[in-house]
Order: sequence, then C-alpha cells, then structure tokens
Amino acid sequence: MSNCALKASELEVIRGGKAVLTGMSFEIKQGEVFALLGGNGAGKSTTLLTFMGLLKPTRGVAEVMGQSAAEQPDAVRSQIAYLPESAALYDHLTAWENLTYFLSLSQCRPEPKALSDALDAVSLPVESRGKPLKSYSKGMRQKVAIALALLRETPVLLLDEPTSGLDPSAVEDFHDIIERLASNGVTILMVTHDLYGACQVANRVGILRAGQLVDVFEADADGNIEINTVRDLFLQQQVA
Amino acid sequence: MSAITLIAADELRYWRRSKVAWTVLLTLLLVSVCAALVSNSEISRRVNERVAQQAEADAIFQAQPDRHPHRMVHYGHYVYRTASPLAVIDSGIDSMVGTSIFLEGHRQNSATFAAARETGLLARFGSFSPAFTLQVLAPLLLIICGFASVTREKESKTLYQLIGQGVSSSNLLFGKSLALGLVALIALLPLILLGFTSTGNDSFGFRQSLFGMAFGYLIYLSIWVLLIVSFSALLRTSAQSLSVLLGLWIITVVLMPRIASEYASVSVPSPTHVETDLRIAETMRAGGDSHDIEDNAFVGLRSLTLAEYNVESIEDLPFNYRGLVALRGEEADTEVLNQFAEERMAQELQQKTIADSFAMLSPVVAMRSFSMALAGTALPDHHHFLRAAEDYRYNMVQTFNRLQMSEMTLAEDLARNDSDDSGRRTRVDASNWAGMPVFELRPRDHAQRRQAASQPGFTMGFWLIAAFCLLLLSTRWLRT
Repeated sequence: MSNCALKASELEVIRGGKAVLTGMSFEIKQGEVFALLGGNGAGKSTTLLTFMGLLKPTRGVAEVMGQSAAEQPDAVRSQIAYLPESAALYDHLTAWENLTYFLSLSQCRPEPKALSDALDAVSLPVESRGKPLKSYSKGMRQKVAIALALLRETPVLLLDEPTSGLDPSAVEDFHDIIERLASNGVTILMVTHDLYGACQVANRVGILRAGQLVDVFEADADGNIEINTVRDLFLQQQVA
Repeated sequence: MSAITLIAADELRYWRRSKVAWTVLLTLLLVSVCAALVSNSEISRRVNERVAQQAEADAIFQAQPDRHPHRMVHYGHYVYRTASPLAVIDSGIDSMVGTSIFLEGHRQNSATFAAARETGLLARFGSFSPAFTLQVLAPLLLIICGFASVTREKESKTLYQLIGQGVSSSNLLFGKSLALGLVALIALLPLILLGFTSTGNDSFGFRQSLFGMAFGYLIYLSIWVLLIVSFSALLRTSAQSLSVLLGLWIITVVLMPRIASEYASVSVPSPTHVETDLRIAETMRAGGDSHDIEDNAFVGLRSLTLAEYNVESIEDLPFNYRGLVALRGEEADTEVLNQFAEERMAQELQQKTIADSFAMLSPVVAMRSFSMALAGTALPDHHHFLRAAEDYRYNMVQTFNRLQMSEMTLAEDLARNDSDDSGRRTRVDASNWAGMPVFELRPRDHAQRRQAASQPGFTMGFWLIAAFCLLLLSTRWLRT
C-alpha cells in the first residue's frame, strides 16, 4: 500500500465559469505537513473543497488515502477533519455542545475527559466553555474549531487559514499541536497566507499561483525551510 | 440517534433558543388554540340559534288554528339547516349560503335560488377557524420558521462543517424537514386532541371524518415543509429563500383560489336571480293555475277523472275536485321547480369542478375541497339540504292538498267565501298540522363525505410526491 495520503493529479476545477485550479498536481505522504501558500484567488480554499468532495474537478483526480474525493465523497470525508477559515460552528450552542453535536454526527463518542483535554490543548478558558459561541471572540471560536478537528482523530487534517484570528500565544500552541499530530502520523494539508507560520511547521511549502503549483520547498535535514527564499519567490509570484 | 434525528433535534434546539422562532412557534400554537375556541363558540352559537329558531318555527306552525288546508299551504313553514359537528373545524360554505328556507306551495324559496355562486363560495379568504389557520396561516408561519433552515448553514459555513462530519445532504434535508414537520404538528394539536376527546353519538362517522381531516392537514403541511426545506436548499441566501417562499405562498394560497373561482364563474356563467325567476314563471304559466279548476291546462285531468269515476260532473266525484287540481298542479309545479333547481345545482357543481381543477396549481385548493368535504360543509352538503327541504315542502303541501280533497266537498269549497259559516265548514282541524313530522336533516354519512374527499385527496397525494421529489432533487443540487 502506498504511503501517499493526499494526491492531486492534473487537477482542474472551474467555479462560477472561471478556471480556479488549472492542472495542479502534488502528493503528500502520510504524517507529512504540507503548506500551500498563495495570494487571494490563487485556489487555496478550492483545493481543500475539492479534497473534501464538495467541488468536482472538470479534469484530473483528487485522492484521499487512495480514494477519489469526487467518486467516494462519503468514504473520503470519514478520513478527513476539516477546519474552515472562519470557524464554522453554531452560535446558539456552547463550545461543549458544538463539540458533542458535530462529533455525534460523525459517529464519534468521546468521553467528557477527552473533550476537556481537547479544549485544554487549545487553551480555551474553562469559564467560557459553557457559554454560547455568540459571546466568543474570533480567536476563541477558532480554538473550538481546532479542538473539534483534533477530536475527530482522522488520518488527514485539512486546515484553511487555521491561525487566522489567533493571538501569538495561541498560534504557538497551535503549531505545537500540529507537530504533535504529524509525529503521530496524521497528514496535514494547510492553506495559509502566513508565510512564517507555514515555514515553521510544514515539511514542505508549496507556492500556488493562478491555480497551479509553481514551486515547492522542502525542509532540510533539521526540518527547517529557508524562509527568505520562500518569501522572495512568494513575493515574486504575487507581483507577477 | 441517527444523523437525521440529531439534525432535527438541533434544529428544534435552535428554534427554542432563538427568540424569533420561539415567537413564531408560540404564535402558531396560540392561533391554533384561539381559532379552535373562537370557531367552537361561533358554531355553538349558530347551532343553538338555529335549534331555537327551528323549535320556534315548529311551535308557531303547529299552533295554527283550524284553517282551510290551502291557507296552510300558503302560510308555509321555516326549516333550518343544522350545522355539521365538524363545522367547528371548517365551516365551509355555511356562512356563504342560506341556512333557512321558507317552504310554501308553488315555490322554492330563498336558499335554493340564493346567490350561492361558486365565485363567492371559493373566493372567500375564510373565517377565523381552525381550517383557515391550517390552510392559510400555518404555511406562512412555517415559512417564517423554516426559510433559513438550510441557507443559514450556508451563510455561516456550517454546511461545510456538517458535510465534513460525513453528513449526507439527504440526511441534512430529511433532518431539517423532520424538525419543521414537528412544528407543523403543533398546529394540528387542537384537531388531534378534539378527535381523541370527542364523545357522544357518532352514527354519521364524524370522528372518522375528523381523523381523516387531521391526516389531510398533515399531508398538506408536510407538502409545505418539503417545499420550504427544498427551496432553502436550492437557493443561496436566506433573503432569496424568504422572497421565493413568500411569493409562492401569495400565489398559491392568496391568489390561486381567487383566480380559480373567477375562472369557474366566467367559464360557466350563472343566470341572475331575476332571469331565473322569469324563466320559472313562464314555464309554470304553461302548466296552468291550480287555483282555477276551469283553467284550460286541467281540461285533460277533468275528462280523465270523470271517466275514471264514471260520473258526469265534478260535483259527483267522491272527493273535492279542487283538492285534486291543487294536488296535480303542485306535482307539475314541483317538476318545473326541481328541473330549474337541479339545473342550478349542476351549474354550481360544474363551477366547483372547474375551480377544483386548479388544485394541480395550488395545494390549498385541494386542501379546501378535501376539508370541506369531510367536514360536511361543502357544496354537495348544501345541495343535500336543499333537496331534503324540498322533499319536506312537497310532502307538506301535498298533505294539505289531500286534506282539501278529503275533508270538504267541492260545493263547500267553492262557497267558502260566501259567509263566515261556509268558511268555517271548510276549516280543517288543527290537529292535522299539530301532528306533522318536524324537519330533520340527516347529514350525509361518512362514506359519502369520504367519496367526495377522494379526488382532492389524490391531488394532495400528487403534491406530496412532487414535493418529496423536489426535496430529493435538492439533495443533489444542494448549493453550497
């Protein structure tokens, strides 16, 4: 069995009559953290939605754990935890209720302690956990969404701007979580504007421009990516 | 719990915590209960009024002194239509048509030729009754409650989260439909409770009809639930969903019944009251005046009767020949009157059929017909009353005509106005009308009402299947 967790082959996706992905290809191994960097409209979120099976490619294939997202969306979704850009949770529910509800929908029945631990891991204040999310800041909501993604315990994690709205300390905590998950074999594909964060946690960083992967940087033996090179190329691509 | 019940439970939790939804739910419950109470009180008042009026009319009629029988024919008698027990739920056309008829010789009065045209019957927006609440208000409140059931998930991006948890679009839409369906049940609660708590004589199967109505309304509201969730799934924003659903409500609930009845009245125009009266008078004139035994129209009758009894003159007959002329004259008049009445009723039914055909364009048209048919307050029930009243009138008049035949001689009858004494000799004992049976309308039984409800019932079944198909299509076209 191949250890490729995510694979995009010649992926072409059209949204609203416009080609957003134009023949993108890449592979991500199990336990790898791959960050996709790109400007607005480069096709970052579209890539994630295609792997979720929410968008059907007009050409090419998006595979998750060897299964086509377009052809077997239900099977694929059971392998994926997805963290959207804006924490997509219910305002009328508390953090606890949101977690319980979404997890029960995915047939997960975690113990209360596991819920507590997940919320501890994202540093959500204990006193806020019983309050409806409408009273939460954007960062607090994002923490709950991250906790939900963690609790799913899926082999693949798709993250859309995961650190958006988080304070610096929470960003650090989040990076620790990502590293811990990766070391446990979870495959992570994150799309982000955060160049520094991406270089800090990712094994590889891809630059996305106009729906195509134009360059990929790999971490060296020490796990570092030369941030200046990535930044220069990224800025070059943005100007071009 | 399955994904469907989890989603339904969360939707209900959302409504419970949302003030707007809570207000809508309370309004729905309050309106349903108020409509049941108001309607119950109104119908009880009407029933009591009619019972009292009928008793008074019977008493006055039976208390008439000794009279010439033909004076009783013209004195006449009032009969009242007692309301169907289910008029509490759906008063149907009761308020649009006459519920009392003055019965007398040679005429069919009031309600028979009242302006009970289909135009008026179907176009009405409805009185404040449980039927009005369920047909008109409940869909509107369901729209207010459910228009954003799916669009809300799109706008807050929780749809991605749900799909990300492995929730299929069909489970999502079925769950949302289940929750909205439970809200719809609130509106049906008074009807169901009434069915379970109603007691007493049920020889006409009103309890069965009540449960039939509850089932019909369940289907009708389910159609709305499925349409609401489908449009919420198919459209991108809550604003779009609300606009489209309100438009649909206005067209199907407010406009379509009116268009249907207007179209029906234009397609089958009814003659005016005056036109009808003139045609009846003209036709009856040809049949002769039964007050005049010398009228040419009765020459044949005279010859036949004389031959039959083998006598030379009408004075030699063993009965009062004037009574016989009155008897045969009433027979002929009634034939003419019934012919016009049946013609009129056929026109009304034709208009109803045309109006009912609009049920394919609006479920409320089907629901109204279904509900009125089972409640026993539809047009055929009104016609049933008219025919029963006419039977009663005919029998009453002919009873008096027979009394005129048997209780006096022709000579006495012809001389009745000569003096007080001769007038007294033609008076018949008051016990003859004091013992007359009172008018009792036997409602059409459950089988007849069920048969009348079957066609609109099938149409509602079609709507339910169509709405379910739309929901299934929406699961494929769910727009994120």
